[in-house]
Amino acid sequence: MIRFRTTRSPIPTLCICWLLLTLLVALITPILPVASPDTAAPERAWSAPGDGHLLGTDALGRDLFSRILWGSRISLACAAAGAFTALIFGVSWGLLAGGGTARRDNWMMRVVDLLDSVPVVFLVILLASVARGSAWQHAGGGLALFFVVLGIVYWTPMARVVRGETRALARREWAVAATALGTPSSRILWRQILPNLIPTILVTVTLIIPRVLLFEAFLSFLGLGVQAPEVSWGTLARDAFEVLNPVHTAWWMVAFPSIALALTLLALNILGDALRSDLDPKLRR
Amino acid sequence: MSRLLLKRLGASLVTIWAVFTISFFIIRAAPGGPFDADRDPPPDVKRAIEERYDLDAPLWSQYLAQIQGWMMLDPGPSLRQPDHDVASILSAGLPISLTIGGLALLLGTAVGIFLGLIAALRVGGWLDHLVVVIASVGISLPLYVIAGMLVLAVSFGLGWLPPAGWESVPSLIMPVLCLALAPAAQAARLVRSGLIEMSSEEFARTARAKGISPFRVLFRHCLRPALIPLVATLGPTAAALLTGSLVIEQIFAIPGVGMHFIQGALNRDYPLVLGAVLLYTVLLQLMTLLADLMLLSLDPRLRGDAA
Amino acid sequence: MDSVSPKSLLDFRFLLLLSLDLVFLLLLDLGALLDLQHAGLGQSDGEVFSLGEASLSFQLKDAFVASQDISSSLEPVTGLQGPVNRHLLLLPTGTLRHHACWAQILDRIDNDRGKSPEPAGRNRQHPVTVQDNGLPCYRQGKPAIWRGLPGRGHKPMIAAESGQRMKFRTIAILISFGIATSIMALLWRSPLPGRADLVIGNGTDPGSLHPHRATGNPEGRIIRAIHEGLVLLDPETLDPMPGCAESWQISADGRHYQFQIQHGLRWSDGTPLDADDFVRSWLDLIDPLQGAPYGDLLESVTGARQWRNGTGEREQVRIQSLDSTLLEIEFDHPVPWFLYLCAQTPLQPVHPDSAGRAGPGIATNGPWMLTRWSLRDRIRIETNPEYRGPSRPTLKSIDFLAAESANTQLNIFAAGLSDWTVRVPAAAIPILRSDPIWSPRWRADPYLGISFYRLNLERPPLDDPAVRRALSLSIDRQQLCRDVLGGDPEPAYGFVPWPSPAIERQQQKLIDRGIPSALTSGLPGYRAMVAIGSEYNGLHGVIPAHQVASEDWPRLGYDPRTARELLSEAGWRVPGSTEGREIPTLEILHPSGSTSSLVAQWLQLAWKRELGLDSTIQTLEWRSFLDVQRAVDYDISRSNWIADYPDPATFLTLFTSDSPNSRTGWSDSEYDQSVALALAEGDPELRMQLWQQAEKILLERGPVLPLWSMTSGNLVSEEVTGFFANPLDQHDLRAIGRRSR
Repeated sequence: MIRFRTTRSPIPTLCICWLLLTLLVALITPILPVASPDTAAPERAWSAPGDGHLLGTDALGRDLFSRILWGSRISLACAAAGAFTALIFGVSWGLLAGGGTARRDNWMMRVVDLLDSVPVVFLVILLASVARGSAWQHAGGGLALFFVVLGIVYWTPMARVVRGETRALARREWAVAATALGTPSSRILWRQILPNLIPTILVTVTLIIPRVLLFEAFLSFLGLGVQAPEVSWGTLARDAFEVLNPVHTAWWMVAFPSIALALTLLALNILGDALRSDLDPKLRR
Repeated sequence: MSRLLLKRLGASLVTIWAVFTISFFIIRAAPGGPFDADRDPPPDVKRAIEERYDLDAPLWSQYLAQIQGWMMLDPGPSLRQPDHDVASILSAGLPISLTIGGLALLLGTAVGIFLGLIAALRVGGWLDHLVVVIASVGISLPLYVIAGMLVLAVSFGLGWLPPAGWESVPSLIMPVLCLALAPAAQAARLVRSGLIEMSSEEFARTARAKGISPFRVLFRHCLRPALIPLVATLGPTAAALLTGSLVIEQIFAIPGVGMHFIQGALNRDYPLVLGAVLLYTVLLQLMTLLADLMLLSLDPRLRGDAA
Repeated sequence: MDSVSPKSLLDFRFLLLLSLDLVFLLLLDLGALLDLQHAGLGQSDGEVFSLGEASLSFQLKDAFVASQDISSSLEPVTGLQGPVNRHLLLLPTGTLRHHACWAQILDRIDNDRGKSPEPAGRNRQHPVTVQDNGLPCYRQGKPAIWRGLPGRGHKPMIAAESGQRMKFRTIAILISFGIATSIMALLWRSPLPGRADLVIGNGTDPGSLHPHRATGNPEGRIIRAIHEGLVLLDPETLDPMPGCAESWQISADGRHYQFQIQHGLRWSDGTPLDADDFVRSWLDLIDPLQGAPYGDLLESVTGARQWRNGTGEREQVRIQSLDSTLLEIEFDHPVPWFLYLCAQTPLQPVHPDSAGRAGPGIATNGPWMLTRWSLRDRIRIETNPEYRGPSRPTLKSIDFLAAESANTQLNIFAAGLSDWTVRVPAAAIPILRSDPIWSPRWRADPYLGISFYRLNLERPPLDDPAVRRALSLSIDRQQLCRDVLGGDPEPAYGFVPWPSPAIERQQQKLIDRGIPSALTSGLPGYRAMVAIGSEYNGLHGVIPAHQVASEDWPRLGYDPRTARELLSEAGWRVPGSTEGREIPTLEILHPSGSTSSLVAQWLQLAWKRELGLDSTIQTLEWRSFLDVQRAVDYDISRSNWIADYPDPATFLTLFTSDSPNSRTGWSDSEYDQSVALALAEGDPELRMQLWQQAEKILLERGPVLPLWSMTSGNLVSEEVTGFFANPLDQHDLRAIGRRSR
């Protein structure tokens, strides 16, 4: 178990426990004895918690508790998609950029800057419409496309961080010495520099995932996110927003999904901070 | 240094042009057009409408026309609101977004630095955790949920502030507050981790050994280098804040520029959305340049490269 | 801010704020810039030396020992002559640590400098600061932070006490902040002279306010207030009343109209308005080159179709002014709804100088004029002093708010900042109807619009009429309206909405809620047709709606048993049996939006439960959705259709073969013929019968699945008077007033 030297408190460990619990629940949800998230019982729409529905029901009378559980699956899948793309593309791009010549570094980072400036919504609309009629449309229940979008957007922060660190490391004496010894640069990059980056990469991943989930919620706000009948925490947040008005305040629809989402994101953020402080090589004695 | 600035300027212009081109072709590739409606006019009338806005010309000539238009700062009328040109639409919303964004940036950064300082003073203690949680709350929920709850609580529960609008100082408070949550969280975390790092450096420990109080050590000596990572991300943060946020503008009915990015794309209002993209990119380059200048002042190690 | 001005980028307030914001940001870096400047320009009188490693200390120590004067101590090392003033000595790493004598040297430098007593406090100067390779170091407990790294050569540097730098920076920040906030305060001082008499939450910032370009209700509301057409409509009954025209005559065959226009009418800029303005405006509306989206409303004017086809000329279109106050117009076939059209947005007169634009500077002729268009904030209209027409409105100024989000509109209304809002979130509707606080303000009146699904008859299994009927019969529309829509709309079983049973039920609902307004019928004189389930009072298939009693209306089209029987008779598999072909999966296509999504999910569940039919739901963003629908690349897709005028023609011409809005690929020559006959018929009674026949064909074999008749949803404050229900949701602002606050 990692001991968190810097903070010396149990909170980061608690965070890890919560995240593992969420992951576990998400994985075993299909076999849990909860109501199906799709069972609409419109006559019981908007009912408060209690009486058969642990956390209440939504606009079509669907059980909120089961929707939160099933929603966690899709949300975590989104997180995984973002993390995966960040890992594969972001790390390689950053390594190649930071470990290469200044010219290559310059051009590669220009591309990253460019991608950051292009508005994402265009890409979302375009991809969704381009995919229509092709096999992509229904792959993974329509979500595969969505994951591609998330991946495209979120590999750039990883690339930047990895590039910065690689640049710093590549100027260290041992890297210079390795080059002088005739080691091919790709080997230096992958075998020697990359292992040193793992703490940073880990930290960055834990800090990218909250952004991915918030972006998914943002797309749901626009109507471009995960579509019915799939449910995710982003769509639940959107449904919550619908009832945040002074006329009809179904508090359970706001409170419970928010708590689930907030706890998870908080856990990720706190964990990321703790990891960053803990894995800082300067603190190693 | 002027050579440095010129090189940066050149690179920025190239980036702006590239972003413009990519955005142009992507948004044109999306299906549907600006004049599609549930009740379409007959096809030849639709053609006449499109001709009026040169949408029937080949894509390359439209692209060149757009570039030319923007170089003269006269990009033509918006397609959805043909009574206004894109220039006046953007210049109507920009001061408002700048105001809200600027205030949010100031507030968020100041509060964030303050919180980070407090947390670093008591690393590992309950205060540290409390501060980190408070700072992170702003980025642990979607902004629209937080804004919705805030409006409900403050406007309707307590009745202190108007729920929306752009009319007076009270109507500003909640949008700025909501917009400041994200930069505050980021600033707090970066400053906190930076201060923790700096406080283990030799000079800080020397200072403590000399009897200087922990707060002074942190504030007067460690803070400046600890701000470096924050300033490094300040460029994109500032640009994003200054161009407003769609969510905040929709919920609080603020007539800023943020809506145009997304609504323009959804409406296929090509000139407007390209204008918004240009605005954002220019602002991003400007903010990044200013942030790099600040970095030069904060981090002496960079100046060797600069010269 | 005025927005109809070219080159608004040069608006001085914008430039001022932008430059001050930039100054503000630059001031934050002024310290850095000054330093760099000094680093580059050599204005100081000090120099920096970077000293080598080992030999230094010995040399210096020896020199120090040799001489008590510090300047001569440093001279052999640095080569610098004269007093040691404002110098910076840069040492390699660790030198300080290893050579404690430096502390003594530095102290001596200090004391040496001034024979006069050292001034106290922050003004003490440290002319010499020693740096350990770039990191800050300490002397006597005071930090000495230096700026900048020297280059290879000797670059002058100033080392000043950090306290001074901090002070300068703080002042700079405070000043720039002060400037920025005062500018922001200035910007808010925009002349908004108080709250308008009526504030309307208009749903969105309008597109174009030009009558020929406008397409939606938010635009229409404003345009009909700032313009005035030939005719105005009675707020309750929608009967035509004099507007710009004092009187009119219609020929017996219904094809010739003559209007007498009032004398002395004026535009808001004072120029006179007469019949020629109407002729020009309407011809511009029809003009194919000007591309007005609603130009087809006047297509039945004699000569118009030819002109639009390219075979005729503008002069041949039969809209003429016989003199300055007499207007004549002739149609190919009777257009009984023409007087209604004259009050609509596209037929409003347009000023000759408008050049296709609208805005505060363009003259209009209505009782109000546009005085202010703050983009995405609000539009204000105020009394037009040049107005000479018949209306006598009581409101002097009206604001139209442009908030986009339905939640925000509701919040604004709930906080009392608006008096009437046209959009509310769907989730709020059940409470708005039932809660005694909200119910008196919630007006859900019948609206001549039909919500339905388009069917693609080329795709299996929709090519089988039995499947289509089964799909329709297995939907409990009453429950759909209650669960998903809040209970206001009524089920629809035909394509023309609001037949009499539905109207009666709607009236009863309003009476139950205590709303006193009288309700008019949906479409006057028309007896719609409806498709029913198994049988009703011995009738089958498609029957006239008025033969249905209003209490039987909700269950009329809900008969899942018959639906399953139809399916199994046609050879499909039904739940509970294993014979027959399995029904292919249907794709339900709808645009993004919470109501559309809920309806689609509801349908999916209903069909699964009643028929065992599997379906997938596909959501597309609005314009992508329209694109797909136009290409007829769907199985079933969600649709609405709203009446352009109160006549069945507006609904039933939608699916003729040459209609540009059919979007179903359906073409039936018998239907086309039926519609053409009805359009050409002059006798009102006969026309209605012909329309009934056309609707019958549409319901029997057409590509529609009707769901519900739409209701308008307005939240109107109790202080507003003159707000009447009418089936076209047109609430003339001329009739609206406000009780005193």
